[in-house]
Amino acid sequence: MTEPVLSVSDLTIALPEDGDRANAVTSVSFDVKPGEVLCLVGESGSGKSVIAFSCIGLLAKALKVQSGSIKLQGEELVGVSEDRLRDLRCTRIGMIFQEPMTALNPVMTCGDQIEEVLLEHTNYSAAERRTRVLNMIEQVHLPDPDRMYRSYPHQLSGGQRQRIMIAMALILEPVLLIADEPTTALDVTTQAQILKLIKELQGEKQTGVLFITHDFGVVAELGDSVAVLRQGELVEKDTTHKVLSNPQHPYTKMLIASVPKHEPPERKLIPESNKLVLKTEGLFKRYVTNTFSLGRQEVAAASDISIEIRKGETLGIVGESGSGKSTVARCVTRLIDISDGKVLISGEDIAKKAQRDLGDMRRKVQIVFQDPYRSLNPRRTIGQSIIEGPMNYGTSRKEALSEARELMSLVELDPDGLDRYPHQFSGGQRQRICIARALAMKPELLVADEAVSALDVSVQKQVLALLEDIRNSMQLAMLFITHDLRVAAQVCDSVAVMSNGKIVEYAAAKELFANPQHEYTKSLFEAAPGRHFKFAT
Amino acid sequence: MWAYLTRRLLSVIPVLLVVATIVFLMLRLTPGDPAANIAGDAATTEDIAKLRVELGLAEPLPVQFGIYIKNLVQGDFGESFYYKRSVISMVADGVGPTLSLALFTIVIACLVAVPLGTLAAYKQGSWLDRTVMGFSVVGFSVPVFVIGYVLIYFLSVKLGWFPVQGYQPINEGIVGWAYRLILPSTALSVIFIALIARMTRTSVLEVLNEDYIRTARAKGLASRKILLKHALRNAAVPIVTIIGIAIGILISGVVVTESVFVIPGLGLLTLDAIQGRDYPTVQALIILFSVVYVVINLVIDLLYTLLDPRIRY
Amino acid sequence: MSNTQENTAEGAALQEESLEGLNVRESPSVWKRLRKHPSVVIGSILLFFVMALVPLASVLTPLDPTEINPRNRNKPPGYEAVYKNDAGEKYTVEAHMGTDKLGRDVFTRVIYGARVSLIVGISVATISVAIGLFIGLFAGYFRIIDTIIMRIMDGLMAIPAILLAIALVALSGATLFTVIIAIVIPEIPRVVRLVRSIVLSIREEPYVEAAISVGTPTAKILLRHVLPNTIAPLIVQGTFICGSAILLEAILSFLGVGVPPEIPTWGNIMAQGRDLFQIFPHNIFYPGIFLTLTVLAINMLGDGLRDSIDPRMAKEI
Repeated sequence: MTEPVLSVSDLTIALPEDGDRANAVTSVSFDVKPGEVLCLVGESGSGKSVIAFSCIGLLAKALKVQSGSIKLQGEELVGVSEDRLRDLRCTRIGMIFQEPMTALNPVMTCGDQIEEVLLEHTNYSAAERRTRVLNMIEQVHLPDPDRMYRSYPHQLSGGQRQRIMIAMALILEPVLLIADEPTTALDVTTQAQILKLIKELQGEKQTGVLFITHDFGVVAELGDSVAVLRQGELVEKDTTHKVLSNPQHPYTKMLIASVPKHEPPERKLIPESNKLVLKTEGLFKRYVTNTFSLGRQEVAAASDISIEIRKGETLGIVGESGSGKSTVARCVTRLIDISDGKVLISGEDIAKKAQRDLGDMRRKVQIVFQDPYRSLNPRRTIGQSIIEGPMNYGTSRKEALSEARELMSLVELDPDGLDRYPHQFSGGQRQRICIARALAMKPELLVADEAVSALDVSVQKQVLALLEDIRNSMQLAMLFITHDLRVAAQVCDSVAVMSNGKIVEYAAAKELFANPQHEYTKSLFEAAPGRHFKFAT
Repeated sequence: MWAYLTRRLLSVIPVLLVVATIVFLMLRLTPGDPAANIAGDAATTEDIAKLRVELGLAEPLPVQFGIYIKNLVQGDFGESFYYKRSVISMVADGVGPTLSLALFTIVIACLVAVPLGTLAAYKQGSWLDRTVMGFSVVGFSVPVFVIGYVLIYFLSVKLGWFPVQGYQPINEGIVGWAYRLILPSTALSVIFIALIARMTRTSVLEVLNEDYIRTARAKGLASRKILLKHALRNAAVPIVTIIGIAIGILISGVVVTESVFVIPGLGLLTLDAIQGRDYPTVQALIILFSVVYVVINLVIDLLYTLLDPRIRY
Repeated sequence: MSNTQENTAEGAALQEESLEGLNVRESPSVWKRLRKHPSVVIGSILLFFVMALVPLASVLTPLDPTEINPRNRNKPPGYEAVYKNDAGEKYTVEAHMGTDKLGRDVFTRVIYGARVSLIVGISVATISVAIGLFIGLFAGYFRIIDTIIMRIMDGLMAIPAILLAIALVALSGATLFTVIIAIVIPEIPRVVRLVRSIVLSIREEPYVEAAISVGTPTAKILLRHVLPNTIAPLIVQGTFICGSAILLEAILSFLGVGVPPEIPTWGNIMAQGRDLFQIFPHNIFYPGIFLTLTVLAINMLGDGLRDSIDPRMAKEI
C-alpha cells in the first residue's frame, strides 16, 4: 500500500457566525494517492472549494479549521506556520484556479510569472531559470514558447492562460496538484484539451490530483475516484466507475440522474400546419468600430441567420462563447438593432421598426436571461416585477395580481411570495420568477438565453422540466440558446449550431445528434466530457 | 500610438472651446462694467463711453466673441486693462512661483501619501490603518488657509524657524527658494496627502482581493513581496488617476495658499485681476489653468499605457 | 458563458431548491448598520451641536454680531467687555474669543456664523444634486444629447472650482444668493458624471432589458428602475458636496469675494483678522476650529453613509 500524498481526516471547518450553517465542512476524510485523480464533486455551497483551499493554507480569514487533520506525505498542515506553508506551495503542492482570465497578474509577462516560482524556491541562475520556464511552456503544449514568455496574459486566450497556470503550478513537479474547477469557465473544446493536458502531465510525473468540479461529465473523463459532497458532508466515496454506474447514496443518485443525457428523447413531431411564429431571413448584426488608426471596421457578430420556429416547437442554438448565439437572441427580441435581414414574428417583419412601434411585438416575444441574480430589480417585489408587463398593456392591477398568483403556482412557487424581494429567493426560484414574468405577457415566442446555465445540475433539471411543461401546455414557440449540447439534446426539437457568427449546421435534434455532418459539430460532440460514459439512470 | 496621440490632442480642442466660451459669457453677461471701474469715481459718462470703445467693449457681443476667439487662436491674449502690459508677460512673471509651489506640493504629497496608503491597506484594520484613515478625513476637512496660519503662527511667529511669508526666486539661491517653500507646500499638501493616501489604500485593498494575488500566494510568495511586486503595480492606474484629478484641486489650493503666504504667483494675479475686472487677464489665466488641467490629464492617459500593458491605443 | 456563478462557499446562500417553502435571508437593514458605524455616530453628534447653534444663538450670547464697538477693539480672549443696554445701563460680557479690529465680539460672530455656513452647505448640496441628477439621467439615457452635455461638463470641470466661483461672485456682486449659485455651478459636472455612470451601468442590467421587453416605456424605466439606484450614491455625494461647499464659502469670504463683510461668517471673521494675525491670532483660530469641526462632522457622516449604504461606492467618490 503506497502512502497517500494527501490525507484528510475528520476535517471540520467552521463558518462565521452569520453563515447559513454552522460548518462549511463537517468531518470530511479522504486520501489522494500518488498518481491518483480524486474528484471532489458537489453543487454550489457544498464546501468543495473550501476543502481545496484548506489543503494549501489559503482559506479566507473568516474560515477556521476547527478539528481534524490534513497531511501532506505524512506532514501535518493544520496549524503549521505560514513560513512552512509558503515553502510547500508550488514545491510540493501546486494549485490552479477557475478563472484563467483573472488568475494571472495582468501587468507581468507570463514568462516572468512562471519564473517567479523559480526565483522564490530555487537558486537557479538566470539562464537556467529561463531554460526551465521555456521548457515548461513547451511541456504544456503552447506554441512558440519565446513569444509566450514575452506575452502578457491579456494577449492569450482563456485556454492558453490556463496552460500558463498549469505550467506555473507544475514547474517544480509538486507531488500534489489541487485544481479548483479549472475548466468551468472554458468552452467545451478548450476544456477537453485542458483535461487531456492535466491527465498527461500528472500521469508522467505520478502527481496526485485533487480535482474540484460540479460536472459529472468531467468526473467521468478524468477521475480515478470520486467523493461526493453535500452541504459540507461527504456522502459517498468510491472509484469513479462504481459511483457513476451504481451510486449508493440517494443524493448521489439524484445528482447523477439530473445529468442531462446526450441522446435526445423521443419527441412528438411538430405538425407542418402549426403557425410559423418566428422566421428570420438573412439576419445580420454588424458592429462598426471607428478607430483612427484602422479606419472604419465592420465585425459581423451574426451573419446570414435564417431560422424558423413553429408554434409548440423548441429550436436550440448551440455554440461556444463568441459564436453569436446570444446576439441572435437579442436581435430577435430587438434589445439591439438589426443591421440587415428580416425578422418575422407571426408574419410581421419587426427588423426595421422603431422602438416605439414595437409595442405589439413586445407582447408576443419574451426573454429569460442567464443570470438569475441580475434579472430581477432588487428594489421591487417580485409581484411588481411580474405585473409590470401586463399593466403596461392596460390590465388593471387587481387582475394582473390575480394572474400573477396563478403564474406563481404554475412555476411551482408559493403565490404568497409575491410581496417578497428577489434576495429572499434562491437562484432557481428566481429563474422561475423570471419565467413567470415572461409568461404574464402571454407570449407566442419565449427566448431562453442560457436560462439554465448558471444553475446547479439538480436545479437545472427542474427548471428544464418546467420549461418543457409550459411549452407543451401553452404551445409556445421557444428559442433556446445554450452552450451545453446535453441540455440542448433534452429540450430541443431542432438545433442550429453556430460558430463565428454563422450557422454551420441546422437540423432536427434527433438527426443532428445521431449523425452530425459539419466538422465543427463533430468536434463539439467529441469534446463533450463524459460522452462515452454510461451513467446510471 | 501616434494616431491615438493625434486624436487625443484633437479632442482637447472642443473642451478648450467650451472653456473659452464659458469664460467669455461669464465675463460679459454678469453685471458690472470694467470701463466704469477703470475710469474711476470721477469719470463722466462720456469718459466711460470713450473708454468702452478703446477697450473694444462697445461692439455687439457676437463681434466681441469673434475677435476674442480669433485672438485666442493666434495666441494673442491682449493687454491688461490696468497695467497696460501684455497679459503674456504678466503671466510669465507669475509662472515661476506658482510652478515651484505646485511641484513642491505634489512631490511632498506623493512621497508621503503612497507609502502611507499602501501600509494602511496592508495592515487593514490596525491602529496604523485607523490613524491614516482618520488623518485622511481630517485632512479633507481643514481648509488650507487654517493650516497655513497655524503653521505660520507656531513655526514662524512663536518658534521663528521659518520666515512668516514671502517667496524667493530659484535663481537667487536654491536653498532660500526651497526653505521659503516648505511651509506653504506643507500646508497645501495636507489635502493631497489625505486624498492620495485614501485612494492608494482603496486601490491596493481592491487589488489584494484579486484572483492573481491568490495565485501569487499559491506560488509561496511572502506577503511583502506580493504587496510590492504584484499589488502596488496594479494599483498604480487608479492612484495616478486621482493625482490627475487632484491637479484641479491643486490649482484652486494654489490661489488660496499664495494669498496666505503672499507668494507673487498666478493665484495672486488672478485674484487681483478678478476684483479689478481686468477681463483680458482673467480670460488668459482661467484658460491657462484649464489648459494645464487638460494637458496633465492627457499626459496621465498616456502614462496608463506604460503602467498597464492591457491599455494600448 | 458557463457556470461562473459557482461560489467559493464562504457562507454563500445554499442553492438548495426547496419548492414548498421559500428560504428567506434578510440582510441587516441599512438603518441598523448606520447606527453602528462610528463615523456616522461621531459625525452626527458633532453636526447636531453645530446645528443647535442656529436656534440657540440668541440664548448663548446677548450681543449683536454686527455691532461695532470702537472701545473694545482687538481685545484678547477673556477680556471683560463693557456694553450699554437700551436703558443706558452698563453691563459686562466676557469676550470668550476676544474681539476683532472693529470691536465686535468674535464669540458672538462665530456662533451666528454657523447660520450662513449651514445655509450655504445645505442649499448647494440640494440644488447641485437636483440639477446634476436631472442632467445626468438624460445624458446617460439618450445618446444624442450625451455627447454635447458631456463636452460642456468636461469644459466646466477643466476650470478650477475656486477660480470659477470667485469669478462668478466677483463679477455678479457678492450676495448670499450669488455665492450659492457660484458654488453650485462647479459642483454640477461632478454630480452629472456620477449619475451618468450609474445610468450607463444600470441600463445594461438584465432587469432593465427585461423591463424593455415587457414594453415599459422609457420614461417609466428611468423612473422605476434607474432613478432608485442613484439615490443612495447621491445622498453620499450630496453630503460631501455640503462639506466642500461650506469650505468654499469660507474661502471666498476669506479672500474677500464672498458675502458682504459685515455678515458674520467664519470666512469673514478670518478675513477680518488677517492683518493683525501675528498679534491677535484668535480671530483666525476660533472660526477656523468651528469651520474645521463642521466640515469634519459632515465628511465623517459622508464616509459612514458611504460605507453603510453602498460599500461598492468607496472607489467612485
